[in-house]
Amino acid sequence: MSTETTLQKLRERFPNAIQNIYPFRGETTVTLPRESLLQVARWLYTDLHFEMLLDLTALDWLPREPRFDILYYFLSMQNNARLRLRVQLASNDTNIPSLTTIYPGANFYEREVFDLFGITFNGHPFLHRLLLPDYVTGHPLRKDHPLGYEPVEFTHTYAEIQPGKPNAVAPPKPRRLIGSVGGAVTELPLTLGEPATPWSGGQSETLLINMGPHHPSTHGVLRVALEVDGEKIVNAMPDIGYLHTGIEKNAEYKTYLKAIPLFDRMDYFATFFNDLAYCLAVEKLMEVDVPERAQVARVILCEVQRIQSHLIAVGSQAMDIGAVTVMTYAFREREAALDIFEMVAGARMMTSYFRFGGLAQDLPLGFSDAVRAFIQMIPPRLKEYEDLLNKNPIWLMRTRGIAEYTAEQALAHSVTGPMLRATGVNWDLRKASPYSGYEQYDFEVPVSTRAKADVLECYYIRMEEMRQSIRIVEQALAKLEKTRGQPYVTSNRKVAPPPKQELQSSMEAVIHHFKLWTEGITPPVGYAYASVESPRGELGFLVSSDGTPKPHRVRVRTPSFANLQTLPMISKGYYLADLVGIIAMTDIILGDVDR
Amino acid sequence: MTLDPIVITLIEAVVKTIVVIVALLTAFAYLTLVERYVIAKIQSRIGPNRVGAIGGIALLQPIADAIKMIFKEDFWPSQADKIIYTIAPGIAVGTALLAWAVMPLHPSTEIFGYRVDFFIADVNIGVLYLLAIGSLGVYGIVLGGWGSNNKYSMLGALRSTAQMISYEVSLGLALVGVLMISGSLSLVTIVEKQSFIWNVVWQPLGFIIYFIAAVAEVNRLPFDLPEAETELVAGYQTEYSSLKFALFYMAEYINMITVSAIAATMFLGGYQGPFGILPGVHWLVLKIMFFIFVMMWMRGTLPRFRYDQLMRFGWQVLLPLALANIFITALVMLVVGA
Amino acid sequence: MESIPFYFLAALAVLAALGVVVMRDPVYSALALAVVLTALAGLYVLLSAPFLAAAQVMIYAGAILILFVFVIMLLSPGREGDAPRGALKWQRPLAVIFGGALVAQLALVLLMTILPTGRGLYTPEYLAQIGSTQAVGAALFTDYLLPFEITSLLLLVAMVGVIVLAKKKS
Repeated sequence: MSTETTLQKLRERFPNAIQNIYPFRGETTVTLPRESLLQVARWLYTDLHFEMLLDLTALDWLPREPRFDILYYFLSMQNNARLRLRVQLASNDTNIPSLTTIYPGANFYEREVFDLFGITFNGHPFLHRLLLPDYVTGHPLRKDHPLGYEPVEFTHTYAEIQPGKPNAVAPPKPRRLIGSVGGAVTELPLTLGEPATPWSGGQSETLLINMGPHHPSTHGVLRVALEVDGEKIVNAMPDIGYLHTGIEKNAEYKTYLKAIPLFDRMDYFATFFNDLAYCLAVEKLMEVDVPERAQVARVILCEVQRIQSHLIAVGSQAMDIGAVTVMTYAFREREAALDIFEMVAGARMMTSYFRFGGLAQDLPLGFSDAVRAFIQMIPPRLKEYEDLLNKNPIWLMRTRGIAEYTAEQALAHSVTGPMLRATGVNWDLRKASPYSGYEQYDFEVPVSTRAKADVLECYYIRMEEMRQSIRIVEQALAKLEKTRGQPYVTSNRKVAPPPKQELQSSMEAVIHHFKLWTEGITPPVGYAYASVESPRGELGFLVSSDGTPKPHRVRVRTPSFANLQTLPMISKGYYLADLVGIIAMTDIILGDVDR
Repeated sequence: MTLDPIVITLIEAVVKTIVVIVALLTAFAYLTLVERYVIAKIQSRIGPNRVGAIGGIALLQPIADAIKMIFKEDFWPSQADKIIYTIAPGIAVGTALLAWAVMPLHPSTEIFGYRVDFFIADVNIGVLYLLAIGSLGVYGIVLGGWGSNNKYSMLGALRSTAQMISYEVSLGLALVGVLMISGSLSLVTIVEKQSFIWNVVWQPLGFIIYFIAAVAEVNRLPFDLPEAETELVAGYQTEYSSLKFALFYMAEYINMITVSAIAATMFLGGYQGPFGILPGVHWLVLKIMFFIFVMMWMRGTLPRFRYDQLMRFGWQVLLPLALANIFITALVMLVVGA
Repeated sequence: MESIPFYFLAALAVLAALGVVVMRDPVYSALALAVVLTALAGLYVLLSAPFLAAAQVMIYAGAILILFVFVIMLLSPGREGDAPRGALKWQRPLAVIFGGALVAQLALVLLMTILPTGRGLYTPEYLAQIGSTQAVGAALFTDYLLPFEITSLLLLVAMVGVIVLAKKKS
């Protein structure tokens, strides 16, 4: 079903509801009044098969009135269609109905917008701050909220410093947050040292355990407030935000180019993907073409990094279940991948290698040989892991049938990536909406054939995805040979600086160079969304421009954030020991969750 | 000059005890090094190779570790039960060491005209003594977990109680077959009776059951649930630091040596070696090292059981097998003996 | 000289037994009970009954008491003094009656040992000759076979009862 027919049906069904239809860069945004939002969303879900609420965010257009744009981004896998709804809110009335009754996956998204923009979602079961602590005042992503910083002190005298400091007395901290999850009243205790108390109504013999933020297997600084009955999990509430560094806010204060290194710090095991998605979004906004050599290089690097990321996922999964050896083996292989990244970018983790319209510099000599050696080394090593795990009865007992969930549940909670494919849904952006020339490669998307996903199924999917990535890299290497000597970055001078020798002979080049280095790029007003299939799922960047050299807003739709929401649902009824395996299965990166 | 025989016996016992304890503590220190090195090799890492390294192995590492442990802050959780928190590591080490009182190390020999027995005591219920002392070892873990007043420690303590009680049953029953063959509870007699053929030939099933239960008894992978580091941080020893932590660590390694020594004594002929080459104690040490290596190997290979799976395995697989083993042994002895 | 270990163990057992009653914290009481049981095991050794001693430690201290501790830890009832007073009003008279009966029994036994009644069959010399383990085994499987089997049946009944009670209706 094309966008046109969708809009046609929408017009027919809700003739009075549509305020505005705004097509831009191949995306369609439909503006609705607040009152008809629930109706339209329900209709989209039931009649037009928009199974997933992919993203929910807000834009602050201070000083415009209505000030806020609330953007809902829906995805229909069945029709391979995307649609964005926009509801505009005035600054004095920031209430909007919650979509959690239709899309349970809206839960974390609405809490995030509540936290960072101060928009109230009526009917949300657990509307508390998500990323920031509960005692914080203000909403940082609002335009009138200053970017905080520590002022430089020019004195050491206490009496002079103290008056300038913000009020040292913090407001009283609440002890626990109360709301309901899945109908059951739930409290999220905030003090870490709470004694064992009954926690959910009715169950009296339960113990409350704080797992994290400092715990060996929460893969970073995740805190899970656990209610256990013996060792059985009654309730597991993820509490995130310990690694929140305000990357989205920071990006608004940098030029488009200088924001790239910020995004490396989000999903630090998939830095190329972060950069790629951001570059794709800006390229879409500015309508830039990327030369083939750069596209092939991007594919190779991304697929090598996918292997690297999955190695860590599988290795840490095994480690959490007790097989530490698989982890050390996986990290041994990862070293080789990091060597390749170091070769191209000079950094092993925070690569920042992609630029708008191509790459930062051409691939170094010996790159192809290094990658070829890497992909030849990987398959026998994968076999080694499988020898250790696949037939091991303890491994099978610990993974098969643990954390079972269905495709419907996954879709409802906005799950993407291997976790979704483990339920049997064949959805991979590299096939569904190819970018960077993925349509030219011959590969398969591993999809589970079982009715329900579990920990073991996710492991199988990841192992198979690594093999498919090797296939892609092999084909891409052949392409790379053909593009030897071709440009690695676009010739669009509004985006990429001219080569050095042109500066000697062309006044135009000097002007472009000067403009780029003093001001940066200036995309036209509007917003564009681009997404890639990261190792964890759909990673999307919504870049909004107000025509200045700095982004008006960069919204990141990270896969870990959505995938983590499923934790209370999928871990209920399993054992404490299973939870570490379940967290490893979701393969969250806390940098990716908290941003 | 002649001495009162009682005084001689006393001196002999004290000297032997000191020798055994010093040997065990040294063995513990170097086992930590061996374990780190073996696991490193299995996991394709380098392992300790700095402190006093000879041939790439840091031979002085245990001493460095000990010094570090001593100078670490001795941490007291504010809500801990001070007395229990303090005595728990002591109980753990004490019971671990006590087991060695009845272990025969070497055939009796004449030295300077005295007949010297290379065991501290030959109790005629030696095997039962070992089991009794082993069953007390769980107190150290339980009290340590309870005294720390930490939920992870508490869960670790609960797990270990259930686990050790469950596997002790199979452990004891697996030894019954050997006792039936030997017709004695004395370890010395059991060893002497294996001078021709090791018991493992007659008791293969009992041997396997014993070894599995023993691994569970000393909380090693795949049965290391009480301290499962990915789930319970460090289980019962989460709050422990400094020397108290070192004591728990010591108890764990000495228990490893103990169960290996029992396996060697009961099933592999103890200090008996083939053809009389090498003095007996060498054979015992070799056999113990073999078992310890297998335990390290398992740690490098296997994932961890889950609590309920572990209990099910203990009660529904190991225990019936152990009972069947006794039944079959009795049957065979009846038929052959008749 | 031989009586030194006896007096030491006896004193330990009595003191620890007092501790069981006097301690406020149930965990400490349980630990004191463990000391009592271990001291009794030592007394058994002095009486040339090492099998009984080992069984005592293995079963009582190593298994039963650890389950006590387990339950105490699970329920964490806190200090005894925290409980409301006079919860069981008939407890005190009952305690006096049974305590009195126990003292009378002990006195009777003491009288019987002081009176010259001769020695029993299982003297240390006899035990050393046949072995203490064998003596226990022979006694259990011949003279006391019926009580032995009844005990095991009783334990089985208890176990079944526990399973029935503990199993949740699902």
